[in-house]
Amino acid sequence: MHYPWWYVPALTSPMLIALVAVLHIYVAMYAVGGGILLAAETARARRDGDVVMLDYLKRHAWFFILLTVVYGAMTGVGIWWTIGLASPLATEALIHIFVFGWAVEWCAFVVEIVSAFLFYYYWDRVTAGTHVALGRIYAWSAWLSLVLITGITAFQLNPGRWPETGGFWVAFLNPQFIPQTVCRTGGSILLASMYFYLHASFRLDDGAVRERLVRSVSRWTMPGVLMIAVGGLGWAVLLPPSGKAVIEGTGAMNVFAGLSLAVTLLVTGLLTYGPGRRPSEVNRPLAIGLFCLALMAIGASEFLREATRKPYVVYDLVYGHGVYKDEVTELQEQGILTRGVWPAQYARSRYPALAGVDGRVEAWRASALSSDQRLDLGRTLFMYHCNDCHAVRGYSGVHGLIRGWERSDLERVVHHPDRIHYFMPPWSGTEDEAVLLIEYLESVTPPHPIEDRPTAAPR
Amino acid sequence: MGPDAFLAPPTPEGLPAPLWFLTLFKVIGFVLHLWPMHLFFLGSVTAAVLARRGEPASRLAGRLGRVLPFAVALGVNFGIVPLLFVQVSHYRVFYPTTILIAWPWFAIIPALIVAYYGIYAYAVAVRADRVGAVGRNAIAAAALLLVWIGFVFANNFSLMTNPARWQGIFERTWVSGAVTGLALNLGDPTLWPRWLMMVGLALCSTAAWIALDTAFFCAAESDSFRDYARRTALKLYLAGATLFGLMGTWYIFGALPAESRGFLLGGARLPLFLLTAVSPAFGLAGMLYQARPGNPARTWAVVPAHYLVLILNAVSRQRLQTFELSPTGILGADAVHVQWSTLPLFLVCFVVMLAVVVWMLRKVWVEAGLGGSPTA
Repeated sequence: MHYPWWYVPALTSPMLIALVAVLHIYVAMYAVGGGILLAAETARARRDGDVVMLDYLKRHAWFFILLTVVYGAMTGVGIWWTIGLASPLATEALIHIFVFGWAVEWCAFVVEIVSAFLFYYYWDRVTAGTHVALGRIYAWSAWLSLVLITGITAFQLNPGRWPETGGFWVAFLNPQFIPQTVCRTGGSILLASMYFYLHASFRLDDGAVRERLVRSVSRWTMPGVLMIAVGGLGWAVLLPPSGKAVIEGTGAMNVFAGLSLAVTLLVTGLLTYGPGRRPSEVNRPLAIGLFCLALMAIGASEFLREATRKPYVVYDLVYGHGVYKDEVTELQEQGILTRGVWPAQYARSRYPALAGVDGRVEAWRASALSSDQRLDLGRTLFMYHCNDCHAVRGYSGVHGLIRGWERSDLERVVHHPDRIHYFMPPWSGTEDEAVLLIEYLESVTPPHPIEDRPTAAPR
Repeated sequence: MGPDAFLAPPTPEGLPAPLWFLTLFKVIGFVLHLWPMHLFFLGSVTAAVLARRGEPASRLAGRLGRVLPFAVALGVNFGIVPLLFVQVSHYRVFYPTTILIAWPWFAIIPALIVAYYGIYAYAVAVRADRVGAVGRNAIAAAALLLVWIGFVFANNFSLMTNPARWQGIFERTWVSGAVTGLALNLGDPTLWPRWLMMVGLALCSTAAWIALDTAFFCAAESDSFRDYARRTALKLYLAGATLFGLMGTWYIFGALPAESRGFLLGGARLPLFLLTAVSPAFGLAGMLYQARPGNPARTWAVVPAHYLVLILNAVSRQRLQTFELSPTGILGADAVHVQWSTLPLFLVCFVVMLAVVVWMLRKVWVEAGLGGSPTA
């Protein structure tokens, strides 16, 4: 309401964040874990004088650069781009709380980029010691950027004491910070090992060298799994109550939680009995299978992580519909069409009759408008209050959710969305606006799909 | 309707540092961003054009192509700084305008990824000495995408300082009060000269890089090639400076509102304006000085000379932007709650980052034997 709402038909604009974020995380985790593995394996190969392995690692580093520096870095910027478009108020809040955290992350990012280029492009032109040092500098700076960004995203889920105390460090060192950092570090290492298996299965023909590589990389499996388990457990325990309730109480989240857990266990088993015990048998089908399963587990986990924040987008601070928690009461008293910057401009420009003597929009005046005009205003309220999570037809579409509902059902959900579903934000408008929204929802409600059904007798 | 009608209220968090500090780092970041950004922006166009000609033009295109992947990485990376600080200090105008042009703004990211891979495709072909139609088309496609990206940036930053245009775009693209995001700021008279000024400046930066590359990294090339590269660099710089001058004249005297023009030309600000207006002449002088035979130290002359051009432009743009936004009252409206526990940490990290980067570059420079004599 502070900013214009970007209407993306069918998908909803926040789903673009999810899309870009998932596409980014698949490579961003490799950028961290792959950096650690490349640095370690290069140091080992240099120490052992393993020229053939070094030759392969150089080819892997080229693949790594092409994927992480181009796609990974650009989609990382893309997340920032997209949150500013689809969730500007939350971005505004996070930027102002964490600007110097982001600035420090940028410092790490500069070191990351420069060291990555030097590591690859001067592979054979610097001493072994310098080359190993460049790899290690890359690994540390990449991990540091993971730590810094995790502090910020973890804050979104559980700000701890920050709402009472404020302050950067209370925000950054929030209860979710350590569990998520541990979990993400483990996940990055594990995913990177699967990138190694996949790449080697296609680009490393020498079976003996491949076996040596797989054996060496598989040593990282158990530490990675342990970190995921410990971090994941901490994440679950330290979830805010509403986050736990979202997982427990919604079917889709049951599926995602189950999928995340089951696939992670399956991958762990396959890694232990595949690359861990029989490194010579890692072939393309196994590497592709492992890789796809890992992407599935990460995708499900990310979706779960996002969903547990509801009804907030920054927990206890900014609601999903782009309203500060502290603003709700004021909006309930004065109205979205009066206090919301852009909805008010729309109402004032499109329907001048709504303006009172002081020029402020007064929703009660909508009673004088035609029914189409009232529906249009109801749709405005839908855009600014509901469209962050619901399309009309499409993603989580109300068309399907309210199918067959009667007006009394709509009245209940509009007046008390947070009571109907605890993961929805409270109604943040006036009574007159609630009526407009109800009328709009009524206009898009399809009939009940089962006409011939027994109904409860009126009491 | 006043200029503040569409503005969100100030953030309850307040600014984490004084406005001058945020503005300073915004400008420093912008200056750092400019040269590599210019290089991949107009360097890709230059490479795409030269690659379609015979020798030695295509050879020069190849030399440019090899450096473009690094220019993109550094340009994007350094661009994060001004973009971060603009979101801290100018958030009330930045978010609305990016949302009004949401789809073109969002499309920058996939376009940049495709362009970056196009640049890599060309660079790899150059390294393998196998530039065929695919390589030439790849760099041409990348150049087109990068030109378009620059144009979208110009749209946003011209719209950002002109809230009077928001209502019109809002009304053209609204859907029950939400926006489709399918708009650009095409009706703004300042858009085209502003963007073309940047094109001119970017051509100057590309030329300055070619001059540096010729001086320091062309030892293996023939004398005739180096001579061609030097002459081409001078011609490009002259072309860029001419375009900058013409578009700057259009921008100042044909497009800017009278108040903004009066601000730039008025009182104590006139010297800065004049210096900025003639700034490409400093770069050109640096190029000519560098091209003269003699003391190898001269070969560096183009670096300070061209940085002076970039700094003058960045400072002038910032001053004009601040003036243009003054009617909105957004600058200075926020409470300031300095984050004393993290601001110094950032400054320390900034210094450590510079130290680590310098250490790495120095090690590589020495061990890889990059410190040969300049070839100017």
